Amino acid sequence: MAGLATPKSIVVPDEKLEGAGINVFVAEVTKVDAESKKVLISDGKEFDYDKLFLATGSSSFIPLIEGKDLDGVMTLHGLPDAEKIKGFVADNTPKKLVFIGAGFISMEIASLFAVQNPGAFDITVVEFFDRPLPLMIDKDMADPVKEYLQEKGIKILTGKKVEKIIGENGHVTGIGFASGEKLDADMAFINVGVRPNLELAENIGLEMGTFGIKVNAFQETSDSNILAGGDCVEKLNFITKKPDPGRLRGPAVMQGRLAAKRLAGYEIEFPGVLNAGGCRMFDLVITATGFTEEAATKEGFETVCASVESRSKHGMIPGMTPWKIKLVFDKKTQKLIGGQIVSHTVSPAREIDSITALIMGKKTISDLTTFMSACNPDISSEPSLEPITIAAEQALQKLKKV
Amino acid sequence: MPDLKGKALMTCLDGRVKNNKSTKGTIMEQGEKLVIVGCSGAGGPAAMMAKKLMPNVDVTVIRKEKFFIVR
Repeated sequence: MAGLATPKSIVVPDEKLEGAGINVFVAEVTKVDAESKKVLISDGKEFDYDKLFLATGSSSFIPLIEGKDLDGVMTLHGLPDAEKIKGFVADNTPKKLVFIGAGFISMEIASLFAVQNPGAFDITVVEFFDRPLPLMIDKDMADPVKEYLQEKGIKILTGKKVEKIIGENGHVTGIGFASGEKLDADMAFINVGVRPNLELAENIGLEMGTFGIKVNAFQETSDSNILAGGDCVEKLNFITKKPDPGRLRGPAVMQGRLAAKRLAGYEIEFPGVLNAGGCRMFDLVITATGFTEEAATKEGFETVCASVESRSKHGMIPGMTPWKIKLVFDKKTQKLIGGQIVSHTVSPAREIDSITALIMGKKTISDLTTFMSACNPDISSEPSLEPITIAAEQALQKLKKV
Repeated sequence: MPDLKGKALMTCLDGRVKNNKSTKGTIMEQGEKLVIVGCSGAGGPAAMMAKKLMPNVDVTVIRKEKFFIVR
């Protein structure tokens, strides 16, 4: 969407696969006969298999609301969607853009429109929950984000339930809320999540979980000759070990590789997901991993949380920008279970990977008080102000007060 | 689906199976065919890793979409 990458550059190129000795066919699989171990494609051709790996992915979920099929209602999951959006904007020159759902894709696309065409659009983001990025960050972290985006000219309406998309002559003209309010719109962008593509797996008769094909930690399905991975399978949360609806590319890549390793004789288990992710809006970078405080509470954890303001460089170095981290701990075990970062530069936001590693290492508040980071005046805060240790110190003191 | 509960994993330090009792029937042999349906997040890496680790296995990818957005 940003125009920073060519269509060809954003996929695994067929030449790369073919160069490695892999046969590639662009076709739709219409049937899998698990008894005879055959795959049938749309032109009638059949492929025998000894092992089958299903990576059928997911598709954008468009809620069944009135007006969803109007011209000017957009979603974004694949390149054709991006081309459709660009084509619509070029042909129709919409002025009023409404984004339904303040997830990271909506927020990134909204900010891209504002960055690439300053002042050209009247942009509004509508969110059912009380803040933008509600699945990534808590309200105390999201409020400054909302304020920042509003300063940049993006209106953010929270706590609003969209009831319908209004149209005239087949075209979008507005959004209708459950409250009865209306908002004018020339284009409506819906991104409220994805759903797994399960038709093939269901037709085979594979066992299903709540969120997709049921697999064990080696990506094996209920058919011993079929493995599956990525958005089409149900993953377990690393912390709770319960089924998790998260569908992100990082775990998909790992699951694909793990399945291949399994077939090659390795016995490495998928550890579960933390839904670590990030997004960028203007110069604001937001990353998160594990549970937010709100999500942890919903999961039944009693939490201890700490937030720390930090610096991208030592205080005396020109170009220093502020950033903020929030850590979420389970009060009972004192283990780290989540982290959120809001930063005005990219590099501090990458500290989220340290948080992920610390969660996966099952580190506690006490452990984190001795966390040692790589410090340098030009690339980090002062060692005495390292925010992970400061947050852990805060959490330690909160526990002491109780 | 194999039940992993209580299973003693006999693995080498690099994760390869030392005693392949638990994976009997899983490990692919020379000349066998692996078919992968889909080639985005999981399918592409599965194909590349499979060919790297098992060069003598016949790997075929069947993809419906011409393009995916990479996230």
